[in-house]
Amino acid sequence: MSFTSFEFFVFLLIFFAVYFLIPKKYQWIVTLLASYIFYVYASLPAALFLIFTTVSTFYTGVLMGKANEQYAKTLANGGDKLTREQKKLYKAENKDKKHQILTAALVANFGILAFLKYFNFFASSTNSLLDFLSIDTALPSLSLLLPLGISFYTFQSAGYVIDVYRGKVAPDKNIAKFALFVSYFPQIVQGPIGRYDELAGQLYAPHKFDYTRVKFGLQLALWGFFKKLVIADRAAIIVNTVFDNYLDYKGLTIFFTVLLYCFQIYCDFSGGIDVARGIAQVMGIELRKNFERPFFATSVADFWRRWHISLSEWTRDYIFYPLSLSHAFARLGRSSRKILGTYLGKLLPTFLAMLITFLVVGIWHGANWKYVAYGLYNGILIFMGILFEPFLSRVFTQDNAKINSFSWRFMKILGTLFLICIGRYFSRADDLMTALRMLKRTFSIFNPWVLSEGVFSQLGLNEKNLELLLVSILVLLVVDILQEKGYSLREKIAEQNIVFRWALYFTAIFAVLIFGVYGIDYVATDFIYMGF
Amino acid sequence: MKNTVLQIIKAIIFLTIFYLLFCQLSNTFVPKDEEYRTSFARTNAFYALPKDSIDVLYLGASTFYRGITPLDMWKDYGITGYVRAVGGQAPAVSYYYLVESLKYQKPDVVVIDASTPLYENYDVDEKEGKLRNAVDPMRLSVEKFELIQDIVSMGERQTVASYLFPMLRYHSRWDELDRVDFEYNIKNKIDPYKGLLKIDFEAETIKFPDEYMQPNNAVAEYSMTDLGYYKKMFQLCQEKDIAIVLVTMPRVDWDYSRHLGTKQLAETYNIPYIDYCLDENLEALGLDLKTDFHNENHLTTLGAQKVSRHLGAFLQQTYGLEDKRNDPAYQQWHVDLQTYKDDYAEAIAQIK
Amino acid sequence: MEELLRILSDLRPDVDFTNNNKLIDDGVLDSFDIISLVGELSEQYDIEVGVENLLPENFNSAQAILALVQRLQDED
Repeated sequence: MSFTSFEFFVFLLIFFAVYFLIPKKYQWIVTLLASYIFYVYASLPAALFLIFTTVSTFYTGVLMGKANEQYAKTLANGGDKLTREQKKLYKAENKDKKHQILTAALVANFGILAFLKYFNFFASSTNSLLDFLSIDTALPSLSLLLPLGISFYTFQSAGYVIDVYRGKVAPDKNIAKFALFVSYFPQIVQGPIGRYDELAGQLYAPHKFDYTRVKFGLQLALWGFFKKLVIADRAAIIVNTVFDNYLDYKGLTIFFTVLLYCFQIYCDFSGGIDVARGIAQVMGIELRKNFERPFFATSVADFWRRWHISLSEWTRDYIFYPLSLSHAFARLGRSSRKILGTYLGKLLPTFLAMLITFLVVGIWHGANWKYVAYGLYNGILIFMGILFEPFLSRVFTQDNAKINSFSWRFMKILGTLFLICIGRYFSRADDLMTALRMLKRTFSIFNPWVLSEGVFSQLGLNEKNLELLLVSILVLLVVDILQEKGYSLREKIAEQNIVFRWALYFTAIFAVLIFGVYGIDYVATDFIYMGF
Repeated sequence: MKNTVLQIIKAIIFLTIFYLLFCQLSNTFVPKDEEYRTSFARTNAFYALPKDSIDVLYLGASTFYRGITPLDMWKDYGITGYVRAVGGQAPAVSYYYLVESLKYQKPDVVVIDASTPLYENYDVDEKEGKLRNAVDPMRLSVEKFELIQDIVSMGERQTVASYLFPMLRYHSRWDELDRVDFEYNIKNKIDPYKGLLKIDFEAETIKFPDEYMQPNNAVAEYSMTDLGYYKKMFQLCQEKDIAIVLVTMPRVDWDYSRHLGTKQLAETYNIPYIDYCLDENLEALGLDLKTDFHNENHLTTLGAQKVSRHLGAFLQQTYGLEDKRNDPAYQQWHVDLQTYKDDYAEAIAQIK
Repeated sequence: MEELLRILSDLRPDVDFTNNNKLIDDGVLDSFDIISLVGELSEQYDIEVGVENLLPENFNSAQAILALVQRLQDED
């Protein structure tokens, strides 16, 4: 069920009614049932994969717990008689055992993800290579099912088993409750990727109906629908026209379309996240924020701290840190310091770890070389940012005081926005070659007259719709600026009088119903003349 | 405790205001083209009829709403009738209109249009406009819901929600709303002509082709889904002891094969079939090819009066329908007849 | 503590480490700072900082970092 479908609306109504009417201790069961109904509605065979990941990671946790218990017993039995050496040995043994269990679970689950999502990509790339080498075999392309949310729930469960391994969380003892953690429906489609220590407790706990909390949750969801239906789906019309026919356009037409795409993807993704977080908030559950006004980022690194936060933090905690702190990388660091000197030498392993991390981030988005490019592009930019930022600051601001000035900050924001925009060529174009061609076409000509010539009202949206799009983006900017300054809008609204509040709610709801891009566009002539 | 009650009251008031705004906006957003408006006006008029006051219910497409004038039948025979028809009406719509109508009326006879839909597959996606003309004016009911479900299952683009809540279908009209949309109240307009579309003398001189309705042995093939709805109508009427008559209105787009197909169907169910395209019937009607046809397949009001006189006579004789012209309970029909006559005179004066 | 403060200010001269105790929560130190810092700490104090130690509570203030260092030194 799509969040913006009528079926989902009905599903939610029924779910909320049951959720708040039954005794609180059964709420988690109802949520579990609802999550599986939601999932199976999308695909029954896919649910088998979901169950596999749930069961395998659950028992991985259990086994590691058992290994720990054994280790504790061994120590207890030995007591003072054990030497320091023996204790170290047992400790290492325990660690090894847990390591094996963990590896098995991660290989199995990431293996499934890798196979289902990337096999065809691997096959076609290999085939191109074989072709190039004039070798006469080819890998078949398989028709593979891609289970809903597999990238999200796999990462979330993997995070759990790694946390158990690290001793950060205790293994979950109830497989039914754990199944809820893995399948929780508001987040299974688009995230955010949750952490067990933050999420599980909330999911299993009872929640009472709190009027203010429910109200805020609904408002957040409404804002999400506004962003998705009014802004994102409307912008998509122009973006699709240009990307599907890019040979008809060049210069700033393409660039501004990609800029528009930045807004589209932000509103689409963060809109969906707001709906998810809003629904969770109604239920009394707080999901981590996935976006913190990314367009106010002052560097690409800062951008990734504000965009798809749950993914970048996951890769930081489970890929970047482990890699950088690993023995292999430490050794690399020592060697590189000898060759490149202290400063660069220290940076090299960090840079490498970061590149790998962003490669993963890129590939996570999809099975295509363009995503590899996207990941590398971001990784390299972040690295260059770290290298050159001090230098650039010194150049553009005469002293430390000006570093925090509005103008320098504003320049950094614009610069970052530009760099992110370029990155979007890779993530939106059909493939890498198209992205490069579109980039070339963009910089082949500087044609600012397209703005005044009304080119943009020829791209699928008439004048009124284009104006509406711009106005709604303006609304978005105002809201985001206020939030960046630290205002809590929902609370500010709650402080106003009832007439103002209700007028605002009705305006928002009907804005979504009227201006939302859903259903089939009404064309009078089709109605009247078609099918005569 | 008091807080909870207050919250519940607030929620109810909020939802009520929302519902009212939603309904009002729906009225603003629905299209205001003529076909759509009259579909509403004629359906509203049907609901406004006194209960159980109709002798004959007519179910069909534009051929019916241009070809049958119940008020002329009232004038000549004192029988009451109503035409529930929209342009390009689907047999599915006719069937559910029948079921729904029986909640409000107890007709003695149901006259069903036997024409193109019986032989051509009805593409619900292509004909969405026609379907919405038929569905949107219906009151919310089980029949409306079932009709919507049938329509949605027959096509690929439609959703139940968009039919149940027209606002969801027409919301994208926001950039073309004009004065009419805000001022015209589609819910309370009532048409006075008992289902006749309008009084229309705009005629085209038509000519029947030379080989028109030449007898042959080829029986036309039915469109199976649509045939299914016809059969359901027959069965329902037979259950309720309501007489059925199949009628094909005079039109160029008809042929003997389809005549045979309909005749066969009628004989299977023991239903009288009047095909006005047959030579003998065309002659009996005495249609003037210069003034009685609005176009090749539809009649002007002059033509409609001739058909209605003939059909009315048939209905009264065959089914012994009571002449209610002196029945005080049907006083309103005389009033409506007068309105019809006045409008008729006005329309005639305008073409002179 | 003094030695630690020297390491910290070498790494990020723009940060006031004596008074700030929300280095992680407020995003003052980013992941690169952490990695560089860990590298320095491992060298200076001959400790092994594992991933499981990379928790906000261990790095939020100079005091917390010092406590972590001392704990890790004791472990071996």
